[in-house]
Amino acid sequence: MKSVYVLTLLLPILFAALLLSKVGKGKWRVLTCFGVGVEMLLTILVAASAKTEVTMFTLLGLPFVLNPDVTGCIFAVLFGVLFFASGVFATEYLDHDHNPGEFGAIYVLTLDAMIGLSWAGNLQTYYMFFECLTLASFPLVLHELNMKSRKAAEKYLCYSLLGASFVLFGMIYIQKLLGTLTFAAGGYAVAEGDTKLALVIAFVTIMGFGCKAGIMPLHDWLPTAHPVAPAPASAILSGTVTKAGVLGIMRVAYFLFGAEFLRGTWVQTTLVVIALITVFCGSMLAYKTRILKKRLAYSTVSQVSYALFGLFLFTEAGFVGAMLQVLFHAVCKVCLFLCSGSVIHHTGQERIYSEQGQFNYYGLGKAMPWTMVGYTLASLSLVGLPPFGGFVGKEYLAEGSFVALGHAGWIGAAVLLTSALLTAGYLLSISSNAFFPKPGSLTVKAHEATWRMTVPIMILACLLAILGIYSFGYSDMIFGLAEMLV
Amino acid sequence: MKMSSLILVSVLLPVAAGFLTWLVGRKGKNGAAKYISLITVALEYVFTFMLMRYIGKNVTIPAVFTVDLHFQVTAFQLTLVGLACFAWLMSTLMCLKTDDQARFRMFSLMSLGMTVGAFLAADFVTLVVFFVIMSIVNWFVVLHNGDEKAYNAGNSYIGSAIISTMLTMMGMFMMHHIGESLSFKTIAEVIPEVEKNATFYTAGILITIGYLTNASVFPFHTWQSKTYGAAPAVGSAFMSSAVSRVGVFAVCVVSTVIFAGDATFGMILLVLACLTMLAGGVFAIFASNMKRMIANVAMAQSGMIFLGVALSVIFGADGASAAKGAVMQTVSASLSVLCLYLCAAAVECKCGCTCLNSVKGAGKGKIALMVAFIVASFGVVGIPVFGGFAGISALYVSAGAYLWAQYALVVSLGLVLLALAKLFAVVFLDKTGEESGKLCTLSNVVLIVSAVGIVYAGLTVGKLADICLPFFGFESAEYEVSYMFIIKEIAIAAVCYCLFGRMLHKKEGKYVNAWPEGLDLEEKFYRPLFMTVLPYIGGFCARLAGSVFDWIVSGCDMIIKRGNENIAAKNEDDKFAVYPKDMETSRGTASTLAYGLALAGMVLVATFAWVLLRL
Repeated sequence: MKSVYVLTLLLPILFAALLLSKVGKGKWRVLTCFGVGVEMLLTILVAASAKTEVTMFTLLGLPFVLNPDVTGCIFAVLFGVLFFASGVFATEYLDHDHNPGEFGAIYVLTLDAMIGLSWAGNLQTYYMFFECLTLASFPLVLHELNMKSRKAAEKYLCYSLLGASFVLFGMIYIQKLLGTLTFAAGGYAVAEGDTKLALVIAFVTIMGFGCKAGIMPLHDWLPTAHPVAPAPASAILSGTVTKAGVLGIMRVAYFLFGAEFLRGTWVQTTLVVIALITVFCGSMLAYKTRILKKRLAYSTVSQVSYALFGLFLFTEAGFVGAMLQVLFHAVCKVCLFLCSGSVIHHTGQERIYSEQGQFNYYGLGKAMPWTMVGYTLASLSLVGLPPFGGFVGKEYLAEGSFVALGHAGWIGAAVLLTSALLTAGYLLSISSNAFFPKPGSLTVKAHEATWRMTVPIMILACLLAILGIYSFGYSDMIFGLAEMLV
Repeated sequence: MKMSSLILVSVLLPVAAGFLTWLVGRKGKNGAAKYISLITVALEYVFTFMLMRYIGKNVTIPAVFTVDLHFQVTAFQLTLVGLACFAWLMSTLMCLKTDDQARFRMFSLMSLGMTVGAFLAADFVTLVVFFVIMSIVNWFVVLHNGDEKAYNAGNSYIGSAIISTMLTMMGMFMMHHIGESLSFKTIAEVIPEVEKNATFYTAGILITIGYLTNASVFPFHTWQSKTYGAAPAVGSAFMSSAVSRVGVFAVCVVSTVIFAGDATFGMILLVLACLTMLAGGVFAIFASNMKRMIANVAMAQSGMIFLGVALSVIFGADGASAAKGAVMQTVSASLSVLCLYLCAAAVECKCGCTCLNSVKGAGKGKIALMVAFIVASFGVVGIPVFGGFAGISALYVSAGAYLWAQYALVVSLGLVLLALAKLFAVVFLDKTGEESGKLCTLSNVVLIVSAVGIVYAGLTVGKLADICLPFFGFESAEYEVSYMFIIKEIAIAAVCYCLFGRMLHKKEGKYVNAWPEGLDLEEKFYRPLFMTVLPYIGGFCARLAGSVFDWIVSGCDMIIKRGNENIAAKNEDDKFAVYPKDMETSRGTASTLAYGLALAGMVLVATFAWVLLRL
């Protein structure tokens, strides 16, 4: 199994090298798709096979371990699938780009880091891949190389390094407090005298990972970075890179300190409050924003915090809700960003409303039917309307809120539903006006995207509907996980 | 066929057939599309009859991810399904000769499937799943005409639907916490043991508000007349007579399962029912569009249904006759409103719109239309033999314990009578209008059949209501017949005509909506509240919270640079991460960003390693 792990982590480097070389200039499409496709298959292979713990190397006595457990495999497969869908889209989107090969190379390296951190068996391995992820994804934001993208990349880097420094600080103390950095379901016992310090460290570490997940007040990199990056990059930044933060929080809270230790403490209360504020404010800011990709970025701030809220409840229902939210939000948001990319690519309009307040996408439903159908299906799921996947996740989160917070649980449920209402307002209003333009309004001139753009969008949209209706057994996996961890 | 299969087919067949009609219709084969939709609706009828042998049984379909779908078949639910099938059958037949309706047919059929699913629900989750899909599908029905009215009505409809769904879901989550289940049966068993505190009432009322919106109960009715006025008349027909009954069904469930015998809830519902009856009657008088007028009449009729439901809750074990009145009124109101909308569809077909100024005299020479209109109107105002009499009579007698409610009922009936008389005068008697062409045979047959339905209901609805009563927790009940309300309503109509007659007449030869614009609840209250005030407050708070970190950074920046403004001037780095071309070939990597990052990374790793080794 070790060879499969190593192969999975080394192949992207090979593909990246090829993409950066002269060979890659003409074959960048094939190499990018093939690279992420192979990675996706390898993650599925690892998830399906019997997994073993493998120590990659030991540095100064610190073991760097890969241990693809159930949690890690769910994330790795998710990342693989979404990178592949987004990668196929990118082959068309970046067709006339100044340097598509470079984008492809960075893209596969980002996936490499994502898979690595999903499979990490301890915190130092996770941290190593987490930093690799920051460095790999940073050029994706920078790709356009204009003033805006430079500023955005700078901001992304600063926020990421700030978050990572919190994690590094926390990691040092976790080693001291728990005596290990190895992930174990349920976590480790903290000595009685160290409780106060352990809580502070847990809080700092979680906030560090929270920076990547866009938790307030460390969220500002998302609305700055997403609009300037190319659409496939925005898609993976929003749909998957933020999930690296979520997974980090999950690892610290459930695999190191343990839910039992954090439940009922000030850390839980503070984090729940922060998550709820983020859920509401993210949605509100998205509602007020008139730039399409910025709106989706703020939406990510809100929706990822739904998952964080579920995790911070430390209940089975909350955990299940969080995992479902992670899964469905990732698919939804990649789909939505690809749709937005396709729309911007074909209409040239980044703004939903012009400066004069005129809606820019009237009649887009007729001009780009498949893209807009995909957009609408993903939006319905993100709002949390049945029968789409998003509904189930939000239902569990609300249930978890009542279980954890008792009668005060209505506050959590109310915030989630208010946010869902705002989500409907800022996403479905676009669909509504695109399909049913205001009579007499100026309709947008555009044509439907090619199959390389529409097929990934439609596959992801259908996935949301199908996975919402039938579970294909993954529900048992999540329930089993929740039972084990909480 | 097994019960679960039968229900699944009933729900999914219209959805599949809807897609098929759309595909076929798009290829220009309108004939095939029409017959597919007609056969599907007819099959739904057959399935309804087949379901009769499963009355009193439950079934669970574990199809949806971790959320099982629970269904039950009771006589009341099956009656509602039957009514829905009848409404769709008549609507489908009415628009059978119209071409170019592929999209409308698809969404219409899907709506049927979802409505049937909602009616057969046995728990709140199943109910809300079908309710949501039904609302979304009907949104497309509302938008069908594609004009400005449809656009505004669509926005109003979907906005109300989403807000009401969210409220319902909030209530459901709270109720799940209280009752540990969302199954009707389980909640009914658990609720008597539950403490009736604020959380309990909030949960129940939130669920109720969501469905009251669907049933267009005051003050949640604002979407209704716009929507039914803008949708194609056949769409309004099934939406008003069947889709809105999902809300009625859900409130009946809440009343019997959560608030059984709860006088507080009953009284709230009673007040809302009375306001709805009165508002519906008043709006109907002022309306200047046939479809909107009927929509307001339908609203008043909904109020009457809820009057019965509220009284049955207040009376508790003695509420059988009120519940029976509610059931009878549900059946007759559905049939009467359906028939009125089919009349509107016939008029719309000939005149192109249903604005009163355009339909003047449109009914002249159309016997079937006139008969159907008169029968439906008689059904609505409760003339003996016609559908509404039995129900209204039972409600009138039951409301005797609350005279103000009884007066509200009678005043509402008087206002409705006046509105329908005005409509009759405009469509059939106005001499200034031009005579339109004759109706086709099929339309005449549809109108007559729907009118016959109302008479048939008038004769049999009592027995049907007795069969339905177990749903409300009662055995069969007798109700007292009264004719007094008819005399009173006619007197009130006459008084109102004398007092407000001018408003009913034309101004400068045209019918105008005399309702003051300042009293438009949606434009003056809901839209400003939801579109301006709340987003402004929310946006302000969100921006405040979102800027905290930026302020901290700016604060730190200011402190660092304090007193050194001339030295540490802020410099825009436009060369960030961009290097001259010759850099690629030179060895000048020492000044690149990557080099800087690598150094930073090495320092981090070294620090980490050192600290760990020291621990």
